[in-house]
Amino acid sequence: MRPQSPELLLEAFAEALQTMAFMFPEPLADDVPLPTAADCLSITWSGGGTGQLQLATSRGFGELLACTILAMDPGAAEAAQHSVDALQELCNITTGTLLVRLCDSPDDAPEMGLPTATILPDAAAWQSFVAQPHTIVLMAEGFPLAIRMQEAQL
Amino acid sequence: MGYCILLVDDSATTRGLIKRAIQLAGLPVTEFLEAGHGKEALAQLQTHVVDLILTDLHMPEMNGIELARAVLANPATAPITIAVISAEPNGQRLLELRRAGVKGYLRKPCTPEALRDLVVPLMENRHAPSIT
Repeated sequence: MRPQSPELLLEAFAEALQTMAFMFPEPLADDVPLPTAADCLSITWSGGGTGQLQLATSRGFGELLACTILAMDPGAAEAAQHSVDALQELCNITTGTLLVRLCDSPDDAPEMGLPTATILPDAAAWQSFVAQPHTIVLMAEGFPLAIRMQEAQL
Repeated sequence: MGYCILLVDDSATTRGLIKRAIQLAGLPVTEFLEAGHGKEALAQLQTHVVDLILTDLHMPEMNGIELARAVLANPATAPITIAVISAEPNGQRLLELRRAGVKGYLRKPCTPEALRDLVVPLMENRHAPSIT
């Protein structure tokens, strides 16, 4: 398995987001408000390499993602209940796409676990998350997103 | 006459996405059933006649490989066509699926067009022998 690469992580994330919802990640603009609370999704893998991918973003982005995928009106009442689920699937698909890119042969790809969700309860928790090494901060549809991959330190 | 499709994925959002893509493709589907994992899917099969199962691999309780094996080992459900839609990156596990009798595979993320291209031939060739 190749060492982690920000470029491959970005490629995998962009492919997942574009294909799932026709959304496009961009560099974070200075005027984008940072989350006062955020959802944090994690997925681990093991065998042929061990690691973890984490994705954090505001609940508003999760709701917009769910609305887009399910063709619901923005702000639909059902959006809130699908928000974390949609983000977990984005995390899952990004991880699978990334692992394909990181492995020299598909037969060497590690086994993925199931995504889990936690909450970053305030702005300080968000700042702490994005301050960790290898964290890439982006935005999509005006919402901030942070994503990182960590290898063999679980 | 239309088909009954059982969608098995622990993501309700993904089930909704797949259902919408198949509806947009204009396939003659009369009923969609849904299950969040393999055990729920097996329960659905006890009370419904299903033509096609589209299943994820990574799910709690019972994963997609275990579901496929259980369905294909039961003479009552063995004729059901099974295809997998998953983010699974490992080629060996995909080979394992093919050998178990799964007839199609689509890697996530997938477009509505790719879903249609997976489902249409499976429906048109429902009783064809499993790929090897």
